[in-house]
Amino acid sequence: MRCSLATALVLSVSFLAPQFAQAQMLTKFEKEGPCKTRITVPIEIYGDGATDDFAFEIRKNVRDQWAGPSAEDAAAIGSSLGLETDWLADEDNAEWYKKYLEKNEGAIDPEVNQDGTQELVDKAGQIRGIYADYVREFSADPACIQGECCAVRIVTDVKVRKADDDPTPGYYQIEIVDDPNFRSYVWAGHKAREGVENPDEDNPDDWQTTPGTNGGSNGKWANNSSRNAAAHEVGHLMGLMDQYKDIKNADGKTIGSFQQHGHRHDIMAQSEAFPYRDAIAQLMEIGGIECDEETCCPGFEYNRFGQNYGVTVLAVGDAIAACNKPALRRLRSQLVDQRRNLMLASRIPAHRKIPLAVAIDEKIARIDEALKKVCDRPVTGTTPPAVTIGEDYTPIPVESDTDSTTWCEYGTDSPGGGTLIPSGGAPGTTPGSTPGTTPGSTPGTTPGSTPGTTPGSTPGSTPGATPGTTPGSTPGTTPGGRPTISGGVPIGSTPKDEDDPEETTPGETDDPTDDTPEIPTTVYVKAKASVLKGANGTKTSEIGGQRIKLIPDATKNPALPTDPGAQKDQTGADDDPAQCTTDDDGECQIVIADTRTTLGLGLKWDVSARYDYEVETPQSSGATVIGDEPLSDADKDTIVDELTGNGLDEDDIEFNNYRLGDKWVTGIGYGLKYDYGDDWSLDLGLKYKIEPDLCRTIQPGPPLGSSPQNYSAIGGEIPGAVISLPGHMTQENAQ
Amino acid sequence: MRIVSLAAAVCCFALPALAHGPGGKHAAAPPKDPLFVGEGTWGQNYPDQWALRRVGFDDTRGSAWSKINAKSEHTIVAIIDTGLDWNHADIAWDSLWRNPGETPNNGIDDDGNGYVDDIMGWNFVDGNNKPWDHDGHGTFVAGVIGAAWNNGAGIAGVDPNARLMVLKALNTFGNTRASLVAQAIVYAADNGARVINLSVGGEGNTEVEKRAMDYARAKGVLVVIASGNEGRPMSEWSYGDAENAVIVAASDFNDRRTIFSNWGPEVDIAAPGLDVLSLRARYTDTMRGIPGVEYEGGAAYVGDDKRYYRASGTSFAAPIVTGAASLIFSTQPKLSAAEVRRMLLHSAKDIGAAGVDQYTGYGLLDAKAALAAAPDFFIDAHIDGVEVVQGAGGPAVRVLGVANASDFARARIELGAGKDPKQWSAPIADITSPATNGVIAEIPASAFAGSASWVLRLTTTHANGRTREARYQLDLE
Repeated sequence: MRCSLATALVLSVSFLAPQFAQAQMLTKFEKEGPCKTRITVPIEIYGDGATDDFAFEIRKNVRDQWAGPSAEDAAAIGSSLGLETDWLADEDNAEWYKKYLEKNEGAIDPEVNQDGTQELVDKAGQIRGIYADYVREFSADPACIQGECCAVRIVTDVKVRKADDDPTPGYYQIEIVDDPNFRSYVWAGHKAREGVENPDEDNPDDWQTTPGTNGGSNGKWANNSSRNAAAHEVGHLMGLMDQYKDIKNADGKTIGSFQQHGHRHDIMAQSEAFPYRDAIAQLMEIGGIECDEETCCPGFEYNRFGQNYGVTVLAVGDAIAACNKPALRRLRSQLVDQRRNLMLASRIPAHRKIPLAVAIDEKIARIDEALKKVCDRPVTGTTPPAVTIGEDYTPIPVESDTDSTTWCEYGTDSPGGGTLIPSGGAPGTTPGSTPGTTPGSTPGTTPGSTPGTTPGSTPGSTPGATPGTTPGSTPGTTPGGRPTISGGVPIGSTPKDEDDPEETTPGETDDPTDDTPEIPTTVYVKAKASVLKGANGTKTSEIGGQRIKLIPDATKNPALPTDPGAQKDQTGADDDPAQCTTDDDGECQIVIADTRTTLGLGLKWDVSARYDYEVETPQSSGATVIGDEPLSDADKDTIVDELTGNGLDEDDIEFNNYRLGDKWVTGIGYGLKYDYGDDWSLDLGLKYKIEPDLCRTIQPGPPLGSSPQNYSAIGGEIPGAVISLPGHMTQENAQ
Repeated sequence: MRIVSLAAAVCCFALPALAHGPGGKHAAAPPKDPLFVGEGTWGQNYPDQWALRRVGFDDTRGSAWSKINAKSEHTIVAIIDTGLDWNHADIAWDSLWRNPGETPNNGIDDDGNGYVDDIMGWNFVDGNNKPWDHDGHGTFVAGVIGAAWNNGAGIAGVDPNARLMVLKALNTFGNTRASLVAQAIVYAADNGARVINLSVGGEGNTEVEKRAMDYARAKGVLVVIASGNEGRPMSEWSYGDAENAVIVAASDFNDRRTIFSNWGPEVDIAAPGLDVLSLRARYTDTMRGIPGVEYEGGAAYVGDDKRYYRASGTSFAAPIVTGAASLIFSTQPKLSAAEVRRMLLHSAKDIGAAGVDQYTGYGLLDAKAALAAAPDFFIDAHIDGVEVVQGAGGPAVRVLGVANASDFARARIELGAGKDPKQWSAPIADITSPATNGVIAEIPASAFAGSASWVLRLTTTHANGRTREARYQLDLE
């Protein structure tokens, strides 16, 4: 049986009748190590188009296509389409296209479909989709792809047979016709895949091909690899079925084809595509290769892309500690999904499912416990009365630090800040109604304003003007520009018990036996804004992933060992940090039960209130210039012009100089707004290169016993290379 | 003229000079700190400070510390990190570097180094002289290097006699930018540090850091760098191109590379980086809230007083090597950074693949061997790559790399078929001259017949008979 010729497709497999299924599979499946598999397809070509050059083309085509799209491929595609460098960013196509329009003034609206723009977008979206879905799961080794964490190398051993020579045993015999438009095919039987008891005739995933020598030709291919025909046909020689179906007209003539559902970009479905992960898994099964997942894959973490049972790393600790209920609920939902997918997964054996499920169940139980027993615990004390900022509360210096660990967006010159605000409202009160939080204000820099009261003003910046300010410290003006955040604490009750003290000074420890309600032990944090562009150019949530830490008194300005009378202060040596990480909504909660005294908050107040802590997340980035002298004023002006021309305020741009050996370095700090990331490079005709001031971070690894991150690029222990050696003879060749 | 005895004149620090380290009359006595001699403190079945013990810092008479003598000096070790909780019970104040040219608290830059009142280092983040640690990472690193001995509490540092120069270049959450790291490196080099510990990383390289590294190297400073914890090639990571630095990978309980440790030909050496025990700075929990890291707050605390912490990462492998380097400098202060680097690397215990490999470099730090190593001894065997050339007798594979030794005897190149060959054959005669110009040898193409996959094995032999191997995987298409 053979498919009819068609010009629309150049890919096909033609099936022998099932009774020929005993044909020998010549493809070699070898497990080279616990995590390495090699699949070798021996091919001998003959015929008019069989040349050494074409043999090379086959090898190259198979290698290129079965290794998946490389980053270079993707970049080249982007370049050819005239797209910006971050076109692979993980955004949806609509977002991406919106960005594309912004970047390409005058571009045509795709809905109008003029000028071929829609085609361009479709093309870009299609390839972006391929890349986003698949390329990231492939090995860094260009010759390998990943199958269930095992590196799978697919190679062809192609030799050319002269017309008078006999076929070489053990090689598929492929006739190459001197016709680039010929529709290539291979002869193959097919059988149900092992373990499939009731195969569905219409489902290619239930079947595998059984190619092999039967004394004659195993296929006939065009001498044209431009449409990846060889790569597709080699898929059949390894046992894979077609993932497309022909469309025929009433006369039975093939007039086109369509891809099977879920195989839009599958190399077994169309010519310009890549291997699918499922195909690699099938090959492993066909070859009888079992990958030791525990050895090959790091911990529980499987590749999260394209796998239906990956156990995603979930940072539940912070959310539990802070009773971050939105985050906890979201995590719980993800875990439930993971558990369901795990149990449905067909390729994971039961003995491995169980411990994974147990691990997930434990996480769910921890979250449930936190939600029920801790986070929903009734708040004791009276209903918070209405309070007036500035009258019922007086500022207290509570410093904080904040930055986004996700994208390394922070700066020393544009610190974050916020306001600790008592309020009578329930958690979740709309932010923005709180004073001193107008976007664009710079906390801690404007002397003389009233702390936390005037919209747009700078909270906590009046040195010594208000009771409760820590002696010797100047709120909002910490040396070096540390983010300084002032807050309010109640100084009087509304209503107030006559027996209660007139005033409670922050930092004092009240008599624990009185009836004064306890200070709430949770600070609700709301991040206001954050950068949009990260170190890798990827757009992310504006306010999520922000870590906020309150700085205790004892560590704000610690005495140096050389200070007169300095002693080793042990205050708070066993206290937890007062910190949290914001969720996608920019919210989190800091539990201050253990640290409130060291934070200067006292033990008891006469008003039970909720305290919101609004944080203006930092927005800064930087660059450096190295030269024989500091950057000149003229050059600085040029840079300022460039930056302000891109929407930055001149006030947000700063320069500083320092020596580096015999060179000068000029640091450039600038308030980072949207779309002006740290991957910029200016070519302003300056004498010296401007270099992005890249992010650096500490290097703690995952905790022992935790589910580690997905370490995808597990490379060879010893270095190596693949070379082409003229006249090389393999062992098989030499037989 | 009255002569004042020097011994009386140099007194400075209030604490007794002794018993906090392996010098003086306590030279060979291992520490007795409870968490050093302890085991199972957090339920584990291995010693609390297993990481130090694994590289030779144990409590036996033959411990690496036994190599320290009474004349050992104080090595200035700069820690570029998140700062230090200098009030921690296990940080002796006399183990902190004190800037000899600066008068405390006079508001004057006495030594003219550009930093006012920089007594023990500098806070580059906030621009002041108080490099306090609000993250905890720096204090942890400092504890591994220099925690006090025999103070009745806690752990033992590798070199408690080191003088720790605290350079805070990373903020409250352990983040910073390259320019601050560069400034800290320059500060360390300008102010007498012999070793810099840099448990810091990020994507890409910057010119400003490279120049700072070069500057430090020119001043004789050894820079020890954590390879990073992303499980990715060093080529994608910062500092991979740092010349003559020591890049440290993390090994596990079985002396294998940890799964997270970055790898590549840039890796020089490995040290234990799993479940390392050290100090916790107050109000910190450094692993809390790190994206992608599953960690429940407080889980890493150790001890009822929560003053100790256990963590994994190349960050904590690097300071073990830093401490060893500090000890070498303390016993032989006239050595150059290159010599100390050589002593560390060439005395390492080969682990993983035979010879220098991409996961663990020269191998696992062997502190005792390093302290006893001859500064000029080395054996190098590196295969950096191959290229196909047209030789006199036809196509050939040119092997690129280095085969050299301080007293070179010979080098041999062998071929083994397959991925894990058991049999080897020498396709060419032994190499009798050191290969130092980048080209080791050429192998005729005919030698590769019979297999599509080969392993090249280079063995360099020193005149004393010791050898070093390097292997290279070669696939033919």
